[in-house]
Amino acid sequence: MIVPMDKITILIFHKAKQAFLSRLQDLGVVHISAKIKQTQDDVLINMEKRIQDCAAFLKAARKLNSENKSSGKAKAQDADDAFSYVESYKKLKDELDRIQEHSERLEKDIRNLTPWGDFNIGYLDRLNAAGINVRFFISPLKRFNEIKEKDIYFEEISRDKTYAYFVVFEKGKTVELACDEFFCPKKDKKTIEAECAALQKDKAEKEQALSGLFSYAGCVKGYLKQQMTELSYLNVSQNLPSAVEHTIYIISGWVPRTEKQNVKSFLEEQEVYFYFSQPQVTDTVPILLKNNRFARLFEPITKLFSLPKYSGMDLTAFFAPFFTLFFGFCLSDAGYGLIIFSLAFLFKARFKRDKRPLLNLVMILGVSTCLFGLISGNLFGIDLSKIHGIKKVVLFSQDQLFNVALALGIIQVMFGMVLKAINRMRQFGFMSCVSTLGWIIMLFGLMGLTISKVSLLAVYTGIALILLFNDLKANIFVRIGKGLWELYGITGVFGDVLSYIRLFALGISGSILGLVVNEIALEFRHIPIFGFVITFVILVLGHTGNLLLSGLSSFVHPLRLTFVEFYKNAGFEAGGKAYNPFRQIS
Amino acid sequence: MTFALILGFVGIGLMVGLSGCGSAIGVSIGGSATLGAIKKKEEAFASCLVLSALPGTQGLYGFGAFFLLKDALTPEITMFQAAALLGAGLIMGLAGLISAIYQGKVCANGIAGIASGADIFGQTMIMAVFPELYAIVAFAACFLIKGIIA
Repeated sequence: MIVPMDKITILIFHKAKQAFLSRLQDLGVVHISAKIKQTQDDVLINMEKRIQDCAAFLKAARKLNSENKSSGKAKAQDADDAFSYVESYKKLKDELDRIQEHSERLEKDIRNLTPWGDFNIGYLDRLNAAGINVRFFISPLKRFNEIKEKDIYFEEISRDKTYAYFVVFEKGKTVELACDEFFCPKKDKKTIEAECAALQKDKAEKEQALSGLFSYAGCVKGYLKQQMTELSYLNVSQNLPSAVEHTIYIISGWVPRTEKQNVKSFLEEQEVYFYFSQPQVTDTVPILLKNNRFARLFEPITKLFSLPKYSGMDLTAFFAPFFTLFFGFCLSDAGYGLIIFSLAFLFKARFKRDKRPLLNLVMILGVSTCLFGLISGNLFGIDLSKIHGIKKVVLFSQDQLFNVALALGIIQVMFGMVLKAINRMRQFGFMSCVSTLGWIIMLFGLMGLTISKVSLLAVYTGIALILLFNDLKANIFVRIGKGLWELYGITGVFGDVLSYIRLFALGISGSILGLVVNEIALEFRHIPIFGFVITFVILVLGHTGNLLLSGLSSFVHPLRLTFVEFYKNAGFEAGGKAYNPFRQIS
Repeated sequence: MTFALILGFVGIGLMVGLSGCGSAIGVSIGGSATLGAIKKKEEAFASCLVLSALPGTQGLYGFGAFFLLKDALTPEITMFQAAALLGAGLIMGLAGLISAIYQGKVCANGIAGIASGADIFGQTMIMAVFPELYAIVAFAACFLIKGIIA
């Protein structure tokens, strides 16, 4: 259900603006509809940059903490302290990156110098002074023999599997050789290695300093929240529309009806002029959802797609039972259902408070899977209808399941249409829902035709209602024309119902895979010693893989059925904006 | 009947082989996109993994259809059954092949979008299962064919 909202308009004197806004932020229930302009203001830009830096700090701290398991000082201390920690973190990180780059270069030099052995660079300088140029060459072994033939002074230093490393001494004349030349770095190997070791030591020290900084993560977290609150405050404060040459500021926003009394008493205490009003059709009202405990578990699924518009309906509570059924139908395996349920149940204690609803949802889906596994006769891929003791639990054979899937489709599509009719009636009055009622009557009539000819009457009634009442503002001829066009949409309804065949197909493919895993595993049990082990391993791996893959499909396809087929037939209007009140971030 | 047996097994070959190829190509396209995405945004790996796995189901449908129809593969197979198997093989193989490849492309585009910062995981999952409907319809057709030849 969408929580009803009241529009509030507040006029404040400019001198009272700052104080009032911070008190409003403390109250924390008013959603302010001020447009946030992209500001070039330096203060805001710096603040946003600081927030980004804090977020980077906390992310790095979390990564390291998961390795060290050290808890941070949770007290939010001085804002300046926190800021200095973040700045030091940035500086240290930059320096560490530079050290890394430098040491990589040095290590590359060391690797390149290794084939040439330890020699004294000073000798090269002395040779140069005497007019002899020393050049280093690397040649593939095959071509090295050709070079030996040439009339040059060379000395082979070393060779490995593919290359020969040699030096050429040239006096006066420049030697041209068709192989790679190596340009010797100015320092010798020992110096470079010493430099590298020094860098590593520096790096270790800095990393130590960094992990010391991370113990202040709690303090930085508090600072981050304070900065975000202030940014939110500044965004509102700087974008408020004003009047009478900036002496009066106008705050317009939205208050959930449940908080109306609260806000009213708060505003009466302050010295401001305010009034409440009803939302207009053209307003963009923020959406706050409120549902019972069962449907609330499915709100994250609603948010995966889109929040409804204020004038529309929140369909969470209506698709929740269907989604549960469909998930169970697609996965339908009693054993997998038990595993899902038990895993979610066991992990409930380990997870933080805000993840618990997700686990409750998983538990419910597990129960549904288990039930459908029993009624379709599938336990870890074993066909239950062949086992005498449990045979009676199996209600549906494979062919019947095909029809059950289609039946579920028809039920959900018709239910959607009923919801559409109710919503139209609520918004625009009874006459506007008559054409949707016509559709429902016609479809019931078409289904009833399989039972008796009498329902032909229902079909005709339905068609008449669609043709005559689809557009209340047009004249009779336009209505009939539009109605004929709408009737063509019956192919759409047919397609929507057929789409539900996927439930059956997914259920069958899942149980077939389970059966195959069992058959393959049992093949191995006759091997003398290891047979049992191999069988067990194949069973575990195979069923885990099947559970994961089929589980994914069983989640995604009912999702698509909900968002496409159900929402379309229920007339869901997407595009709602979330309710985000002006408050302290905590 | 030798010719009937050949037809029958060719049908099975198309069924399992082509849909398997499709899934392999589809998940590889998704996988490559994932590797590119995690270079930019490491924490998105879990959602990218889920999206890359989506085209994997067509190969399983092909295998499932084979499993449904394998009882007809005996030396005493009739021409009618063999023709039905060939038809089913073409249905499942072609639908599985093409739908998996294009499903992989849809997923890859979604993964690239997630890497660029757009919060489109749910929407990508929904768009990705649109092509899969046709592989499912093909699977249902194989199931109905089984009803004919059994």
